[in-house]
Amino acid sequence: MLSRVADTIYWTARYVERASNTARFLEASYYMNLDLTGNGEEQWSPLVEITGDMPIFKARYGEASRENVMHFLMFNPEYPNSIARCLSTARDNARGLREILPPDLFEELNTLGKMVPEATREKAHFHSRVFELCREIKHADMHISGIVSETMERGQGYHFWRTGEYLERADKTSRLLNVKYFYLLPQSSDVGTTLDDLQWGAMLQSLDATEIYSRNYGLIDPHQVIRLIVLDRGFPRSILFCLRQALNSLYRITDDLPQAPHELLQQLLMHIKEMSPESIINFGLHEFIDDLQIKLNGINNSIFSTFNPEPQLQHGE
Amino acid sequence: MDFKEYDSGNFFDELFDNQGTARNDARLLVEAIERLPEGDLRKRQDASETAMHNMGITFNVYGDQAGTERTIPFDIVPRIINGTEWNAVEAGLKQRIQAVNRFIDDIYHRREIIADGVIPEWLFTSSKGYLPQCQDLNPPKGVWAHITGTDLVRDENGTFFVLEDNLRVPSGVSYVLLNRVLMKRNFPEVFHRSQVRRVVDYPDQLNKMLHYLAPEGMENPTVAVLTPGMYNSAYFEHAFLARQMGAQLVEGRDLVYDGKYVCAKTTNGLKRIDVIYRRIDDDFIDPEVFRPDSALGCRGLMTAYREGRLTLANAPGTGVADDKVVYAFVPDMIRYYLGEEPLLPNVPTHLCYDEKALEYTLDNLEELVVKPASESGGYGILIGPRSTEKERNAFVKVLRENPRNYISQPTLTLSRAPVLVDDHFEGRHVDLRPFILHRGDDSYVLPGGLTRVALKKGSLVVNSSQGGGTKDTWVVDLETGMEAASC
Repeated sequence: MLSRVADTIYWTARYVERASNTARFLEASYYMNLDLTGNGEEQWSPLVEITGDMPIFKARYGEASRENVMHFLMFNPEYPNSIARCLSTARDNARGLREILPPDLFEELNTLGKMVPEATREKAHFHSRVFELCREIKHADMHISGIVSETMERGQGYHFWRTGEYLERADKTSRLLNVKYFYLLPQSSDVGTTLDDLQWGAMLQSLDATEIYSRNYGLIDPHQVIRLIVLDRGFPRSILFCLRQALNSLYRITDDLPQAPHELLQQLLMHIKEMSPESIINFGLHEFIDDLQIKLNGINNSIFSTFNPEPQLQHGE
Repeated sequence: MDFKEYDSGNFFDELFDNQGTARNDARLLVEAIERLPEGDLRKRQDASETAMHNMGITFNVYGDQAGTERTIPFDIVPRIINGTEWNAVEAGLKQRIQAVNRFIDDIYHRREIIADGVIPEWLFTSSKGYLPQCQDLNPPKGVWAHITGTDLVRDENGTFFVLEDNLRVPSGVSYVLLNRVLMKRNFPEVFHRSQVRRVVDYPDQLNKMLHYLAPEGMENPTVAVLTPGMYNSAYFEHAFLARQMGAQLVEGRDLVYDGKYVCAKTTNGLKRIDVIYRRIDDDFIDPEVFRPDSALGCRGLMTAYREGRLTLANAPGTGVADDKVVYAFVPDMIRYYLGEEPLLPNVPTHLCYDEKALEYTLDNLEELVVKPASESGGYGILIGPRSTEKERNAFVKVLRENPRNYISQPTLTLSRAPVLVDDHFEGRHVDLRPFILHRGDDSYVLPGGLTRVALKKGSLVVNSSQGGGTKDTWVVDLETGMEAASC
């Protein structure tokens, strides 16, 4: 497979996953904040904090109001990680992958890429429309994942898609966990209160994990939430699960031969497997996540350099 | 929905004779359309256009706002050509492509046609498409122009004329194939009974030809389609053909010359490419040999080509015969190289480099079509009868400054075909672009080709970049089919 094509597939998957994760956070936060409006406890800035792009937001909008945050994350055509931009980038990428992608997948990406800009043309696009969009995007993402699963040949293209998808999901899940770091609790004695529970609950909600959690762990307990989101082997959005899937796909790409990104990912997996909710909290949740994201970046760079051959190494010019 | 109100006017109509009666080959279609419930054809037309949008069959318009995508308008009423008439066109096209290839080969070798005084030397050296870098190149099997998209028009008597040869990188064939898919869906019954010649195997024919042209001794050649990328107006077609042929779709940045071969950068290292169907212009294919600022091609590509380790289709340099002044000499080439009379006529052409022709052109600007010699896509043309005085004055100036660059032709009364306009039919001018695959000893002509239609009322410009649309083109063998059925 052409290196450029592999790279484009990988990033298309990442952009779709990124958009749908942002849609998930936005939707869950909205629901949570609806329950908090009366008490003046509404908090929107954490959603921007977890993107790591607070300076960009501040410069453009100033105050982290509900409308501003929604616009920034959903519609802003200049912000590269807004849902609108992620989806249109994925669409542009898909247009460059026409001869590779299954036609159904191309059509879906083609349509999805136009969804948000088209919604802005409608008059009443706020609130209820933002909501609908979040749901539609989440569903379109599931649909896309289904098409990939049902129609793509299990060759390198498929596995680059999955590698991108799962690495992005691991990254986004970790950022979501980070949101707790930014949520303000009025006093430390509020830990374990209704507000604290609401916030953890919204996090589970955005991962479609509410029921899985209560079935397996019962009442909300931060340790157990961390266990599910980071360490669970069977939950398809847990960090451990995502990294394993990505590693699996990397091995399929190279016919089981380990290369640089495999080794980095393997080390990261070993590191996480040795951890427990307690050790994560002792290490510091925020620090744990920062460290994880640095390692994920390293893996991303290693994937690029491994699969883009440098001609002069082989033949000289 | 019927054709009772349809007025074919004083034109040659592709579906109706001048009494307003459906031509024999079109009768089945016309009857089928008239049997449809009111509004049904419109629905089918809309559904077809939506299908094209969803499939992303869009093209980018140059000079338009970046990222503007449009679909080429598609008209649901097919154009029908009689099979026997088509056979004559096909023979004419084959003859022409053979002569033109002999000419290109001659120009880049011994130039006998010049030595023999058939055409003047300055004629090709001043052609924009002439590339001195191609001197003494020997393309595989001696073929230069493998894929050609000749433009044909019909006059008021229905006679076919060659308008342009398009020997470089003609586009449009994907629309032929997709229009056909849509039409088979819409009129399966008529389609079957009309014995329409098939076009579906074009990608296969192309693929076979590209394999046949592979460098000597290459058992299982790797074929790639080279595209300028997704922002090119024909990108959809590049991807479509690559996909249909199972070929790699590559861009210049995917390629690297390893000192011997041109290779693609893949996830498994460098992989040799043997045959490139290139959809970028000569100027851009190798910055070492042609435009040094090109980022679309691959440095070293021409070296591999010259040394016979790579095949390019079409060969570089074919543009020498695409010049509209050189075009005027194609009938002479046919006589010179093949010793035959041309089967397909040229449109009578005045070459403005000739003083008399220039004066004639200047005196008759209002009646003539004036074209630049080496542009394509319908740009820079003056259509006399439709022009303003200001436009004509501008042309007087450029004609006097650079007569070599211009030709003039009579304004043809192009044939028309009915198109669906709102809830009725109106006649619109059409042309035809058949596609020819030439491998040297044999050529394949796609039956019919792309019918382009000037959708603006009265317009003569069919180019998609300027408001043209397309129709499916049916070459039908009705009579033979019916005879067979009655036996």
